[in-house]
Amino acid sequence: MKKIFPIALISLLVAVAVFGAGCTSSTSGSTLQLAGSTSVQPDAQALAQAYMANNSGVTVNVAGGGTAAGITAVGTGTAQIGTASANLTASEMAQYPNLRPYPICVDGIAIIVNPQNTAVTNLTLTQVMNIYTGNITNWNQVGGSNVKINVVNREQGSGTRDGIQKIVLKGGNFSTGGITQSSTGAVKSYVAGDPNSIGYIATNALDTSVKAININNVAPTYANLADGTYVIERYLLYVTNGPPTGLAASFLNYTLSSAGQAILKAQGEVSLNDVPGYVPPTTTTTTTTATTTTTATTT
Amino acid sequence: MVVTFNRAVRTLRRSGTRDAGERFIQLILLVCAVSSIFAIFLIIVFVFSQGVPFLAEAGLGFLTTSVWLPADSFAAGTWGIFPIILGSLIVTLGAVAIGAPLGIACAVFLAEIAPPAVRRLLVPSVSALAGVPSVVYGFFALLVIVPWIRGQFGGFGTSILACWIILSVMILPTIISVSTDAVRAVPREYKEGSLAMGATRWQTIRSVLIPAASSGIMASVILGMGRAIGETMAVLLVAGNSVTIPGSIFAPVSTLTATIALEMGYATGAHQQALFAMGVVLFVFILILTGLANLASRRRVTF
Amino acid sequence: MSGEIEISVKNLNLWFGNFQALKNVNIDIPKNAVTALIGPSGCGKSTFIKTLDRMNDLVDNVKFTGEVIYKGRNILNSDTDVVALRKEIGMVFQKPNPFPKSIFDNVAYGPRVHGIRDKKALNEIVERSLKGAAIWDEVKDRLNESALRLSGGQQQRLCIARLLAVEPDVLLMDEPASALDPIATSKIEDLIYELKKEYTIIIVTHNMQQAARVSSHTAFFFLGELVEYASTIDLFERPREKKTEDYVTGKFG
Ligand SMILES: Nc1ncnc2c1ncn2[C@@H]1O[C@H](COP(=O)(O)OP(=O)(O)OP(=O)(O)O)[C@@H](O)[C@H]1O
Ligand SMILES: [Mg+2]
Repeated sequence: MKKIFPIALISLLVAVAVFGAGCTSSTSGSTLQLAGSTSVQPDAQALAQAYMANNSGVTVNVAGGGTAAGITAVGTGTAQIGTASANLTASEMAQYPNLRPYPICVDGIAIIVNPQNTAVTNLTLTQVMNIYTGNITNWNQVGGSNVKINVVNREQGSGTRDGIQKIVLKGGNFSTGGITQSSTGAVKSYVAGDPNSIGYIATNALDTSVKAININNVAPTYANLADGTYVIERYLLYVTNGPPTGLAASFLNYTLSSAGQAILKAQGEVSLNDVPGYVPPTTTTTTTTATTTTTATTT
Repeated sequence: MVVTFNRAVRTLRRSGTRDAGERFIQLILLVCAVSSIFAIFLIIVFVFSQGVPFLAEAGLGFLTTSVWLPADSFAAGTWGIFPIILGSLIVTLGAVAIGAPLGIACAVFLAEIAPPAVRRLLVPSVSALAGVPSVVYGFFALLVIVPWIRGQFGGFGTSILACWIILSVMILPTIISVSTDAVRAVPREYKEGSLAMGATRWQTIRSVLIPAASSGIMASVILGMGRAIGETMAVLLVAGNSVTIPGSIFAPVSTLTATIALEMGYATGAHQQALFAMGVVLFVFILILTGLANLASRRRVTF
Repeated sequence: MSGEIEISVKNLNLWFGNFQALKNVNIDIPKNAVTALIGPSGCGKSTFIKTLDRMNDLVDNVKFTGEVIYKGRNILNSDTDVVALRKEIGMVFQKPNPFPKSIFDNVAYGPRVHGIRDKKALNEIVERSLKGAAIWDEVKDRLNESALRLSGGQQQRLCIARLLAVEPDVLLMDEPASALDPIATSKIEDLIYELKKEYTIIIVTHNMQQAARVSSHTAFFFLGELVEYASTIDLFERPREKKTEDYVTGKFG
């Protein structure tokens, strides 16, 4: 009892401080709030930094929280731009009918295994599906040694998990036999430590601690992602509630400009300019109407 | 809490003749007390208002079925948290089963056996153990214990056993410090009486000291249990978080707290309410534990 | 001094850290008799009797020299089995200290820790010990009640019963009646009178009349020294030392 009192007091003070700070910053006109996909977060942060360097007095906050949280944030007006690594769901569209998705780049998802797993270098999309639905449980079923496959998943709601479910599982259910790791980093460090494991992470998070598997004999290289021959890929999106205006429109324009796309490329994403057939939008008007046609396909 | 409040009000009324400075301080204290109660009350109301309607709608199946697909974009949400409740219970009870005997043994050692020099070294170490952030424990377990389990027993390594090991260590400081106080509070005369009859030190500890300290020790165990069931970060890292009924102690599990933490960031709509409903379930668990703790510490020292 | 000697103390010195609490004490304690220890507060009476069952060992920085011969052996030797020693030389404390257990369990505690498990044997021991401590009639119908509900005098007799249950040879009593009213005190004194037939008793007391009533020998301690040791009658009526006379006549202390 005695201890609860000061703790509660402190939390109250902290809450007041945070609320106070939140109020002042959101009423200021020169602040842009982004929230959403953790896959987009590092990209958006890099863009925000460059943007703020060019536009003094402007603050761009990039929050995470996941795709769904980003959609809610933009739908309820907490954020001006929601970031998403998955297309809007029907229920999200029903809840916030004015939401508009704008693709900003192509992001691949790499299927990764431990570097010690030298026997397996390629899997077909169907094999990956069967591993994740639980129909294949032993590495020897896909050309590896006779050990159980330790399947690593992301948590429910993760955009990366959602991407795998759409592209690889074709909407099917994940087997419940695997474990769930709470972030890209956690998946990577788990797979780096377990020779029998398989996991998935965004291609831009790849490094030598894990080994990316070829899918249908195609490696997740930049060129293969750009021309779509590596099939586990999706568009990363900005989502606005109604046509973007003011700072949001300006930031979207910047993102789609060649400077913005160069930053995304440096972040390991595939620039829209390298996607065959992509037509860059005009960047002079403030109410940008990006080519929403490019969002239609994610495979 | 309520008693404190009433007392504060009464003191305020009586203090008419005291000087203004003192009254002012009392007023501040009263405001603090009221606002802290209010804050706790608000949190409880909020969690229940979010969770209870969902519980009412989802019905008993929420607690008894085993398929948990709250955020599946291809299927309507499926809500069954039985494996998660089970996971929380297994993880908590196991951690206490390991941590309590260890902690009590440590407490007896510190209170009765350790030479003063050793005690001076160990007591601050135990407090330091309590101050380590849980994410550090979790990270340590992820890097050391999980690979060890994987190497020894196969499987993922992230498992019930990993949770037990790390949680039992994490609840040690609570159990040790509260139990040590309980053992030291046993009147010296009991110990002398026993020794003077030719009982050995161990017989004295087992037959007199521990029984006489049992209510305090019990309270320490239940406090430790509360810490174990509420622990989130460390468990999140080493549990594996799969929503299935675990087949062995080497299988991954998920717990109420870890699942809430894992999914809260993404959850919207019904999913979010389902997580709050899990919060309500957790709250009820903790309420039961706190009740037990109070009972245990109030129980008269007879046996 | 006639009769057998139970404990023979020779050149006993004892220090708590740098403080010398006992100074070259020499005394022979007679068997099956009551020996009283008197002296002003802080003179080392408790320290002395705690030496006899090695309870001073519980103090961190205690050290001692000299000999305490009991059953032909110097119990101050470091190889003494103090657990076995304390079974033979039991102690009753100033403040009654029954365990927070039932009356029965208090008395059965000693036999149990010494390995007696048989229920019937325990029942017999408990009854015999409670009778021996003259408390059986008062508690025989409430053996399963908590010992803490007994009155102070009853508690002290229960503690004596508890001690008798381990069948010691020597009973050390450190002001056993100082926390009790006159009626309870006289019951304890009667009990001591009975017990001396079978036990060697050493009693610390501040009450001169009590020493005179219950003991056959009395030792007067002052500032850690044994000033005078004689038969109780001699010590009270014909003290050899001036200090003893001053003390027993109430001039100080
Ligand atoms: N554990 C200890 N550490 C240090 N000094 C002690 C300790 N126990 C006793 N003493 C000291 O030894 C001396 C003798 O103490 P003791 O308790 O034997 O006196 P006493 O004759 O029993 O007195 P009283 O009649 O008040 O019980 C006192 O000066 C006391 O302060
Ligand atoms: Mg004394």
